[in-house]
Order: sequence, then structure tokens, then C-alpha cells
Amino acid sequence: MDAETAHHLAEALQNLPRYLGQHVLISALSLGIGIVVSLPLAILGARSARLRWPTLTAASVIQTIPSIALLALFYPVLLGVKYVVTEVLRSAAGGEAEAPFSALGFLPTIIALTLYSMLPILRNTVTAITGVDPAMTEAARGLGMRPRQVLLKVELPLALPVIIAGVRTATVWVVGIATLSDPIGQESLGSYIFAGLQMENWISVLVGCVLAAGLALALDQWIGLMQSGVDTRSRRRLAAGAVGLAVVIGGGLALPLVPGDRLAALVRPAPLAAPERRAEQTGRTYVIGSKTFAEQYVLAHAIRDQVRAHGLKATTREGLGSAVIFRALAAGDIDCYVGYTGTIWVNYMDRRRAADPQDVLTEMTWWLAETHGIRCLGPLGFENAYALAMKRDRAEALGVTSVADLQALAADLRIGGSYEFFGRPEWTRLRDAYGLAFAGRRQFQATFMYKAIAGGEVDVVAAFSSDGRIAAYDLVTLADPKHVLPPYDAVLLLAPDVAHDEALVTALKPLVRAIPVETMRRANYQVMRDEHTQTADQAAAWLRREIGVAGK
Amino acid sequence: MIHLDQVGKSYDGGRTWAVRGIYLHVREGELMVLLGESGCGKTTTLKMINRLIEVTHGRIEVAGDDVRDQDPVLLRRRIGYVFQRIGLFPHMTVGENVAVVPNLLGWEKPAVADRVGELLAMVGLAPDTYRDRLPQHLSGGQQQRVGVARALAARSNIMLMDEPFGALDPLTRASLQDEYRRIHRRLGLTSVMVTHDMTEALLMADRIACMRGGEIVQVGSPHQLMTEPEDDFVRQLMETPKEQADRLERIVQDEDTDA
Repeated sequence: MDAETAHHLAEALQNLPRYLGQHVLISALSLGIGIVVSLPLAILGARSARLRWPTLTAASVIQTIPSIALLALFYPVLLGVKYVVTEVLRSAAGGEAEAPFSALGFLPTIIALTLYSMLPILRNTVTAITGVDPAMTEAARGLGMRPRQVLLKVELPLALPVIIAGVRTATVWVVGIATLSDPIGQESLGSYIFAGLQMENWISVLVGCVLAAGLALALDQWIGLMQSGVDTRSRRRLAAGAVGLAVVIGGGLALPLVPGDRLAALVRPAPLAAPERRAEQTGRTYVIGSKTFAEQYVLAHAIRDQVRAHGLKATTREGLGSAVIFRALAAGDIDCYVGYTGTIWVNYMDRRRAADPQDVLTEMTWWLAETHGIRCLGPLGFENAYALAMKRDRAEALGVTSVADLQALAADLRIGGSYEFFGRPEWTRLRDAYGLAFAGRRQFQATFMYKAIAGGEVDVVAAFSSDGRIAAYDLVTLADPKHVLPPYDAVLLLAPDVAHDEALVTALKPLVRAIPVETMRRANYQVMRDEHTQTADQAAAWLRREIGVAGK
Repeated sequence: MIHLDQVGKSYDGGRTWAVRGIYLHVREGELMVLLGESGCGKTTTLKMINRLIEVTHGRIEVAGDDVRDQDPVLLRRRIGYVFQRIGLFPHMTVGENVAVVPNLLGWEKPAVADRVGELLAMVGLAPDTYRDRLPQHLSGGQQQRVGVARALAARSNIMLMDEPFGALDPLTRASLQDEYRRIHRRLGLTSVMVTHDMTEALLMADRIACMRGGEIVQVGSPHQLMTEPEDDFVRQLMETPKEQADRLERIVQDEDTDA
């Protein structure tokens, strides 16, 4: 095992107790609630055809919503609920009362996964109970069983194998879908996968996939053993299955008690660098958020280390969706993240025209404070704008230097972009302003987008100006003479309740205007390149040394 | 013991009647057979006695009490019932199947176990061999022996039987018919049995109620029905087994002549 692999593996092991523990917790809890809710519903549904249809249809409709959308949907819904509860509490108790739950992470995950678990359990239970031979239920009634006894002593035991099969299906689904909870801020094995995909850390992706599959398989097999115990009336099998299940779930829940450092030490070859001496940490823990791309991971780690270096406690909440993270900051679910002026300008302030970067910054800072109480501490010093880019040789051969040059050529060219880009107003405006009608359009996860243009699968990509891969893949960015694309200066944003937290502000001030775009590109490239990739921690440490804020 | 008076059943508010105007008195210790073709209302009549089906008209008394004044569940626990398709619970052992009603009645465990052993022996199944087997591992005849044992378990002295031997092969059927008659007499049971098999009715019944189109045509002993049929339907019904017997006789004689 080379040193690079060892570092990645060590990082993965470091997070194992948290990620696997959380994964087991959310899966088991959602399934438990799913079973408890679905069984009575299914029994009522089996009894009354009028109830059966709406129940099964509702469950089917939920199933057709893409899982990642369903998970994300509950965040705004819960924010609304939280707002209402808070208002009610304040009008009742007065003062600074607040709803005692967070709309981010755990709660929306549990709700979405529970809903997902319900269809197979509902459908199998209804089918199994309505499928019980009528001769059996008549015999039960004829012998003098009450309706409840008919259900408990005859119908449910006869339906049990099919019900358990439904629970097994639900288990495999839920464990799989739980990996998608990462973008709404719930840690799980999916955090390995999302972060790994963003940073081309295939070891991390592999660890996440293997563990999730292993967990699903283990739960399924133990439940299967219990089922065969029921089928063959073998108490020993039933008990063995139950013990196995309890060990997997109990072990998973107890896992967070294992210190990740110990696990990591098993494979970590040698200390990376002398660990930075941290001041004694006191007080509250600040939560630093990050979106789902490499630069955000590196910056979140750098900010976390910066806060810790000032003797404060800090942690990260990584891989939040772009729409989620701003609301999470406004609601105080996270304390700080790095935003981009253009995103806020276009998405939240709903401005149509691009403007001078300085004006955008000033107006946005005022708007954030006025409308959300969010404090913009200042720009970090670099811009991460959308920019159309082409391979240098291709651009030169076609004589393209600006987006305007593409108009005549677009019909023969294909464009690639991130999932987010084509959904953003900038794309529409860019397309309309320059009259771009491309021959084809493909969406990629960023990593694959660069590989696609390198391989000639697309001719133009919507790249990010601070991306280290622009230089690495020898791309040129095209000018935007009509100034359609707004500026995207990276800015430090603070949640309303820490907007004037002096300790935090003091810790973060040194980062303002401290990171030139060249430095950021190099840091980004460290975690993105195919060879000698670094972990986000390593790149963050490099970044802080480079800009001179790392402690001695 | 069981008394049906002007009993009728309609599923459409009185426009058509599945069963109507049934008057039947089953005496204590009697084995009464309800005989008729399928769809004649005999099973409906049987099921109204323990309120698996509720009457639309008339009244039914069991041991002197109107069944409608009783909790149907408690009523059914007092009356043994043997089902057409046997109806053993496949997820329970033979012993557990027999013990269903005693357990529902809350008997003590040792009493239940003793009773199960006693009954399995009575229906000719060695308790130690069969008690812990699952019904699916028994032959059809053995299964219905368990069905009879289950119906008798709570010491009911009234038995309702819905074509109990219909699903069995002829040899098994004959031996079970004999055994049931013996048990019926020894325990002093009052039984009502539904069948469409004329031979079975004639061989087992003390009295037979012939049914057609939801009504009772004639009630009488096998001898009475064969010698004094009140109409053509009953006569035809009774002649079928006689004709069969004659034909069998001829086959036997032909063989003798050949030889």
C-alpha cells in the first residue's frame, strides 16, 4: 500500500465510527417507524377496500419521487414547520423561545426514509392478509375465535412469510437510499461516496459503497434467517437471526464510541506533518458548512482548522446541496460557509443583470444583513465564476476567444455542464444573449465533465474559474463581452446568531482577501488530480501554510 | 336439542330466498343429515345454527335458548364444527390444532394436554406419534380425524359437520363414516351433517332432511324415505343408491355366469 492510499484509507477509517454508526441509526430507526406505522395501516387496508386503495396509491406515488428529491423536499417543509412552532412558542412563552429541533439532517432524513420503507411493507402485508385462504378464516370463526384472535392467531401467522419478505425489501432499499442523505446534512456512508466523487477519491467512494452493500446484505441475511426460523418452526434459527440482527444494529449504534483516531492509526504510515498545536478549546462548537465540490470541502476544513487554532471548537457539515446550505445558514443550522456573490445575486436576490463586482458585493452584504441577519465578513480574494471553456487547440483551430464567437459555430458543437448549471438562470441568459443553439447538451458530475472534454465527447464546458483542472487539462476560458455572467467572488458568510460573535470573527478575519485565485486553484488541484491526490485535510493545511495563517 | 322454526335467509332484502320456511327439530342424541344437491341451501342452514350466517327470518333454538340472545363467539365455542375442506391451521401442529378451542376457553395447560392425548387416541391417531406433526405431513383421512378431534375438544355435545368426508378417497371415507357413528353414539352427541352423497346419508343418518331449492321437502328415517317418498324428487333421490346397488349386483352375477 503506497503512502497516498494509506492516507486516504486512514481518513476513511477516521470517519468510520460516525458514518457507519449514523447509517445504522437512521436506517434502523426509519425501518422501525416504517414497520410500526405500516402494519396497522395495512391491516386496516386489508379489512376495508375503501381504505386500501388510497393507502397503497399514496405509498406508490411517494415511491415514484426520486429519492434524492424526496429527501431534499422535507428540508423546506420542516423549516416552515419550525418557523410556525417557534412563533407559537414565542407568543405563548414570549422572549427567545425556539422550536426544539433542527430542520436539517436527521429529521428530514428519518421522515423521507420512513416513507420509502412503507410501500413494500404495506403492499406485502395487504396482499398476504387478503390472500389468506378464506377456508382458514372461516374455520377460525367457526371454532369461536373473536375477530382479533382470527387476526393474531391465524391471519398474521399465515401472512408472516410474505410480510417478512416485504420488510427485507424495505431494509435493502432504506440502507441504499440512506446514502443519499448527505446533501441534506445527515452523515451516513453516503458521505464517503459524495465527498469521494467530488474529490476523485475513489478509495472513499469504494469504502462507502462496500460498507453500504455489506450492511444491507448483513441485515437482509439475518432477517432471512429469522424468516426461515418461522417457516421451519425452528426456534434456534429464529433466535440466531434475532441475535445476529441485534448485534449488527447494536454494534452500529455503539460504533460512535470507538475513537476514529485509533482506527486511522492502524493504517496511517507516519504523521503528515507535525500536528499543529491547538489552543485549549472551549465554549460552543461552531459548525462550518460546505457544498458538494472540492473547493468547498477544502475551504470548510481550512476554516474549521482556523477556528480551532483560535481555541474554539469547530466541526464541519459537508456536502450540503446548494439550495439547502443558504437556508441552513439563515436558520442557524450551520454557523458559517463560503458563498459566492453571483449565486446569491441571481438565486436569492433575483437580480437579472450582471453588475460591477464591487457593487454586487456591497449591495449583497447590505441585503443579507437586512433580510436574513446574515453577516458577510468579506471576500476571500478569489472568484469562482462560471466560465465557458474549450480545449486550447480546438479553440485556436476554430478561432474562438469569446462566447460571442460561438454563435455561428454552436450548431456543430456540444456543450457539457454540471447538473446545477443548466438549471440556473445564468445559463438561460447566456444562451439567449448570445443566441447559442448547441447541437447537443450533456450533464455531468464535475469530475466526469473535465474527462469528457478531454476525451472529445463535448466541445465546450461550463467550467469554474478557480478550478485547478482548467490549467491541468489545458483549457481556455472564453470572454463574456456582454457581461451576462455575474461575478462570483467567494465570501465568508456568518449565521445571524454568530454575526457578532467576536471570538469567531477574530478567528476568521485573517482569511479575508487572503486567498489569491492561483493559490485556490493549486489547493483544489491537489485533491482533484489523478496522481498523488491529497485529502481535503492535507490540502486545507497546505492552503493555510501558503497564505500564512497556520500557527507555528 | 336443536330447533329451527320458519327459518329463512335472504341476501337481497327479501326479494329472493336462499333458504325459506325451514322447520326442523333435531332430537337429543340424533344424527340428522341435511341432504340435497349443491346450492339447495343445506350448508346455509347448517351455518345459521352457530351464527356463521345470521338468519333473516324465523328463530333457531339450541338447547332451549334462542341463538340470537347469545354471544355468537361463545355459542360457537360450545358447538363442535367439522369443515368441508378440513380447515386445519397449517402453521399449527396437530396437537395445537386440537387444542384451539380449549385454549380459547382458557383451560389449564395440563388439562389441555391430557384432552389432546385422549382425543387423538379416540380418533385413532397415536398421540405420541402425531401430536407434534404438522397437518401437511398427514394423509387426507388422518387430517380429517384431527378435524373431528378438534371439533370434539371442548366436550361439546352438539356437532355440526359440513360435508366432512367429501374430500376423502372411498375406502378412507367408509372407515371414517363408521368411526364417526361409533363416536356419536358413545359420546351421546347430537349431530347435524350436510352431504350430497345419498349413500352416505342413508348409511349414517338417524333421520334425513331432504332439501331442494332452499326448502325442506321431506324429513324422515332412511327407511321411511325409501319406502314412503312424498314426491318424485325424494323418490329419485332415494332410487339412485338403489339403482347403483342393483347395477353392482348385476356385474357380480355376470362375472359368476362367465366363470
